Amino acid sequence: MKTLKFARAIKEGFLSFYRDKWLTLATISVMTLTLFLIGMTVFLGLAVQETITNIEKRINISVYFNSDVKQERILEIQKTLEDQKLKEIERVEFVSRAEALEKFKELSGEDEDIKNALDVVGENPLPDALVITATKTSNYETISEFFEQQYAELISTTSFAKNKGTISEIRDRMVFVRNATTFLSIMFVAIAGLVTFNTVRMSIYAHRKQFEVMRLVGASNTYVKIPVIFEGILYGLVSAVLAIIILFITVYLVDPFAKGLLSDANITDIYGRQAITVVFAVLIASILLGMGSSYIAIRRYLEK
Amino acid sequence: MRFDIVMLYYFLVGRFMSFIRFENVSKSYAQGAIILDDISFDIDQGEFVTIIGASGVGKSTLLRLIYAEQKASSGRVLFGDKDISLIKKKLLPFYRRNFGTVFQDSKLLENKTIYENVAYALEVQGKGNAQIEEEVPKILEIVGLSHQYDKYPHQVSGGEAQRASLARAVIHRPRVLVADEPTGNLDPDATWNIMQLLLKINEFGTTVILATHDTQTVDHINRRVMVIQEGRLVSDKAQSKYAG
Repeated sequence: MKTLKFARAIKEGFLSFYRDKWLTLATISVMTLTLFLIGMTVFLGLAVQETITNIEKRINISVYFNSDVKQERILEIQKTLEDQKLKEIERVEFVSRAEALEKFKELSGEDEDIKNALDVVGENPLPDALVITATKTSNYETISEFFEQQYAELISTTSFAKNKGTISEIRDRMVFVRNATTFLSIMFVAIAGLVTFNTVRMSIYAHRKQFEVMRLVGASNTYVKIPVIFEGILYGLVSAVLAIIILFITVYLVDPFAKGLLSDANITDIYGRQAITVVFAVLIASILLGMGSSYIAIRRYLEK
Repeated sequence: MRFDIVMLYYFLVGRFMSFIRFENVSKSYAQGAIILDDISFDIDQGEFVTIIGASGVGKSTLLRLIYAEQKASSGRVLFGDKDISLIKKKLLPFYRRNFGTVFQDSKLLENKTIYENVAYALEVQGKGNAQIEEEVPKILEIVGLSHQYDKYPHQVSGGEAQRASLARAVIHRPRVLVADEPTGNLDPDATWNIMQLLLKINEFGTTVILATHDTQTVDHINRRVMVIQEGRLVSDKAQSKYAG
């Protein structure tokens, strides 16, 4: 008997969803929009995160050695560093003075003044260097200090000393962007949740007389509740599917305009990588919203 | 299983005791308005009782006290010999299955067809599909709605909706049919039609409690009449015409 009644209650939910077309349409359109907002927020958050990580990967510092230090000694230091597997250091790369000159020439291009200046100097003025990428931007200071203490007699300078200001500025801004994104995400999701809750509540309010009748006819509270909650889940599921489709379309359309904004990654790629996260976030949010809202909203009509 | 024991209890006890009893029942609201004032009466099983009085004298409240939609402020309402205010909230839906209810507005579920509305009363009790498919068409035929079974409530006339409501009220064979102004919105023909059905239902052994302000109808059917004025029971005659 329990199974039969449960199956019937589920059928009731389906029927109500299908027959109250306008109500269903109204509820689903509002829910789809809010879920789209949630999806967009989650996705933007992920995109920002990924962009920040990309930028962080490109920051590095160079440790310049005195001209009398032999290449072998520098390579030895590189090997020591790599063997130690310090948690602060991601990668150590050796750039010889010859390579550095090549790169410098490449970067300065056809600038006559620089060419002339190099000719006047006659020999390669650039030092050998180790280019170090840290695991975290905040580690550069430590790394730089480490070199200045450990190998003080070998090195002439580090680029951290020169770029200290810039690096910390970049770091501050990224922290700000990250916090702002998190804050906005929480705001949007909260607003979206409230809107959905109220929409479902209104849809249930429209049915309130029915609940009274159902109870008069002898339906237990559970028998009245299950179809409503199930209908809430249906609202959630359908809205989620629609929202995900609209999200995909939006990302696809926005992609050409967003190129360059997000450094090397384009957003379709990011979306492709994060799609599962976004889809899951939207699906779970929608089911919880639909189910939770209807569960809370129906209770007040069954209190008697 | 526990619920069935409760039902069985009501069923057995009802055989020997007075069926519905009001003992000095009053109902008032927090604001101080007194709706019912010290009302006592007995109704036996199988009776057809008419409660008459102008609109707003407390007829509906009295009925609601019977099927436990509201609670008395003082005094006791007994069903069998059990004080219904002691029934646990969770068990109220099961207690209410002893009753069928009909109202002035048919209170049909708008998004269900006539057939589905009537079937719903059996579905909520977990009755099997076979039983539902057998009994619903039967009762629809009795109330004369066989041809309208797949219509929605807004597609049928007031009288037809009321007959559907009546069918729904009795399909689970309740022991008491409570009818609150069931003919309030109907023309004389439809009214008479409903009254005939109520009498027929009563003949099958169901206790009928009918509240109405329509004195003509009451005179016509010539059954027990209780008169309520300003919340008080002013007259209760076993077989009577309402003389005013």
